[in-house]
Amino acid sequence: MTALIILAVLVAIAAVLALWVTGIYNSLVALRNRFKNAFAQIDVQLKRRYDLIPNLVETAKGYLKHEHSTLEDVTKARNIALAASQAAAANPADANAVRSLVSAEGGLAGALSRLMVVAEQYPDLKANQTMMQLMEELTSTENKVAFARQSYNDSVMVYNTSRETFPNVVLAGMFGFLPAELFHVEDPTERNAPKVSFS
Amino acid sequence: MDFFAAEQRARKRTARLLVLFGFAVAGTVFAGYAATVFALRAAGPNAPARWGGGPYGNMSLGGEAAERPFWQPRLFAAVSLCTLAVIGIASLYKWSEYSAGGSAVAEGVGGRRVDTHTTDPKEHQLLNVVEEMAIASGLPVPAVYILDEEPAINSFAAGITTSDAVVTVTRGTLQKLSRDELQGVVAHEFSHILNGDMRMNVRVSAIIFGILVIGLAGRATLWGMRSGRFGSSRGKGGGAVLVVLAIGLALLVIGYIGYFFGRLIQASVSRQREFLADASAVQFTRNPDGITGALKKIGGYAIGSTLETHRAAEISHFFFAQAFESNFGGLWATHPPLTARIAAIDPHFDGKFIEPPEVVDVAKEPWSRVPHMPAAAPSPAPQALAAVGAALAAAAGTLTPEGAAGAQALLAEIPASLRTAARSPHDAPVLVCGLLLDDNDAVRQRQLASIAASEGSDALHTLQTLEPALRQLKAAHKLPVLQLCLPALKALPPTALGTLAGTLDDIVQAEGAVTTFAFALQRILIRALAVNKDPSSAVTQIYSFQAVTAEISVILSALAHASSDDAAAAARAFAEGASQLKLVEGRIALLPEAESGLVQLDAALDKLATSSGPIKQRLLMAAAHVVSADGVLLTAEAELLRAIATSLDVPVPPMSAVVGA
Repeated sequence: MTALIILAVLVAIAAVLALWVTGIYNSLVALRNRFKNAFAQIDVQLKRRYDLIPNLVETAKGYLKHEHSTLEDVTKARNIALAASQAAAANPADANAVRSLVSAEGGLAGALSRLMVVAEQYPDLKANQTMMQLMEELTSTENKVAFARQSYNDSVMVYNTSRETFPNVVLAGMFGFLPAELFHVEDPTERNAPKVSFS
Repeated sequence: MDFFAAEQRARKRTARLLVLFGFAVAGTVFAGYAATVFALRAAGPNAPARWGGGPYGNMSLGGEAAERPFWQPRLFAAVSLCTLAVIGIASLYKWSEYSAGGSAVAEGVGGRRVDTHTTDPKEHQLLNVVEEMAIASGLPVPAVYILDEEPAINSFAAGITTSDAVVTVTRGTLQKLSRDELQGVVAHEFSHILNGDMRMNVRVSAIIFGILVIGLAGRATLWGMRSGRFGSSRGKGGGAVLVVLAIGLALLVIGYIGYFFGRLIQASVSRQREFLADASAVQFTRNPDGITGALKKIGGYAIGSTLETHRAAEISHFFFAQAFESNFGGLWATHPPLTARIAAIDPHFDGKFIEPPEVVDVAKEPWSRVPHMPAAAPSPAPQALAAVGAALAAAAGTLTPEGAAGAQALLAEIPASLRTAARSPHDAPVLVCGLLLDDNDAVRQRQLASIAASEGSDALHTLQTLEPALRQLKAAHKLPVLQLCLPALKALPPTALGTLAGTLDDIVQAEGAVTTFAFALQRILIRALAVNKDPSSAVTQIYSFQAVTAEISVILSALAHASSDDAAAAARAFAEGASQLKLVEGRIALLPEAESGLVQLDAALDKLATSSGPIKQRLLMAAAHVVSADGVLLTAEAELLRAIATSLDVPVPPMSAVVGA
């Protein structure tokens, strides 16, 4: 009789433990999927930007005859970033691929902001209707990229915090939940790149 | 600001308030129970043991009571079930109103869905901003609506789940806010969607409605008693009537007290959710300036966030900022004060809102929006000449496309160098002095000397560069140039204005006699810059023509003498103007030139400035008729007329624009 009671208590404890572990595992999976989705969002927005840039360069070309090198820089940086993003998209968990994408993105942002500074000096270009629409699109895309990164970083932070706190940290090691990499800008000068604004 | 901490704080406070709300509901239930017990005890043993079926189910179970103790579990269960059932059914009814989804709410208040292929750049920007915030908050992109008829700055999010959510902004939000500010407002709305504020709000509103229904039921009971529906029960004993009466009264009191406190708690919850949404807006945009800028503009613009339509009153909780006046001195306010919200985001907030720009861009402002003064002009006389006067009076205070076109032509005739100088606070005072320079060289030298003495040799140098343009300037264009200078002059510090006033005095005195232009210039400057403004002077207002007949005579006489040197012609012009003032026509007469000089005119204008609007309007029309009586508009006449109009605070378009039209 006593043995039976002890057995029942043990079974109950085991069941509670199993439920608890399942809960932790599931929450970690949910958090991991959330940051992966956030990363996919960055990717979507980066693609939008890569598609937009050739249009922008084409429209600006007519007005910026003396700024060939600036325009070429933008196109070049765009192609490098496109390649890096394809490599990173193939394997988002690879911290190295993410890092190379980050630096390529920094290069593109720098080239774009130089183009903006140059374009500021051409009133005709600023007044052009197509250009104004493109600028709004570019502003929005730049923002979307930034917000997608921010959202990715926020979800990485939540995931990492959850992964590293006790008792989750024990289980995370057991089930192979690796720490996630934040998306940060490496070159400090990129942090204060001029804002894209035509209004 | 540490937005994560701020969000946590707001969430904690909301949770506490919701617990309090739970207590309020429980208190309502318990108060209902206590009232029932007391009513039954008061009714005493005379009350029938079992009630055949009163209007309220709970009472049919109340008769268990030979001794009636305070704690009767069955009665308690019955009363709470009934109360909760009433609240529940009423809540379900209310809930069903909102379950149609966010689009139904937005369309219900007159929203128009923004087409994703819109060609309007502002609407396109709004769609972009909404997409950006969807990414930042990780929510699906909601439908976007615009309230086209609302010039105020406001917005709301509606929708019970994230998938049927909508974001609605007013037209004023699009027009008045910058891109960053719009982003802050939209981010705020996304926080409401993300945190399920509408869902919570609808639930709380539904429960409060249920509590209100209890009070309404009590009122209905009392009403029923008054009309004697329970007359038949009197035969069995007055106790039953008393019990029903007491219960009705109790329900009424409980329901309304519960409703009052429910609303109070709901408003507090709503205010906490606003703080939460503001903090989240900063989290999403990482740009505190956006949302604080929007809040400061709401504070600075007179129209603020108050909506015109009252269709939106039902959902005032969902708006970005207070959409309607609140009752009970802010206790029921759905939003915290603007200053508190800004200070929560930016602790260094200095209490200054963003004022709207004073300059209205005439080229962009749609004509239909410019409010027209009621037409004061009589039917135009057949002669073209008289029409000038009528047109002038009719044009006073209004803006017409022709007037604006005329003004543009006028502006084009003024030399560019003068226009530039007029806009600079540094050059404008010199330009004003330059306008007063006499053509006579001897006088001019004396004037230049006094300018150099008081304004410095720098000013003299500036004046020399402006001189060629000033010499070209037509006399008729001098006053328009002065008007151009006013904004720059207003920016001057009071000490510089004082010096300028002294210099102008010197220049005028050097000339010997005061010209009409100098007089007009002085009146306009005093009026526009409020150099010696006495705030108490505006308190007394004159409403009667009789009180100002002498002053009217002075003004019309001065104009008549300015229009012609010939006494007969002046008399004709005066009569023309006087005929416009039927009320006092017999009492005013042409004064001799000596009695209607600039000194008398000055005094008369000071007194007339305090008269009421209709007097000023009629007087200005009469004045316009005097100057146009002979069909020639001399510069002196135009200057005097403008001085009069400015002193009376009735803006009139430039004369040449009217005459030339």
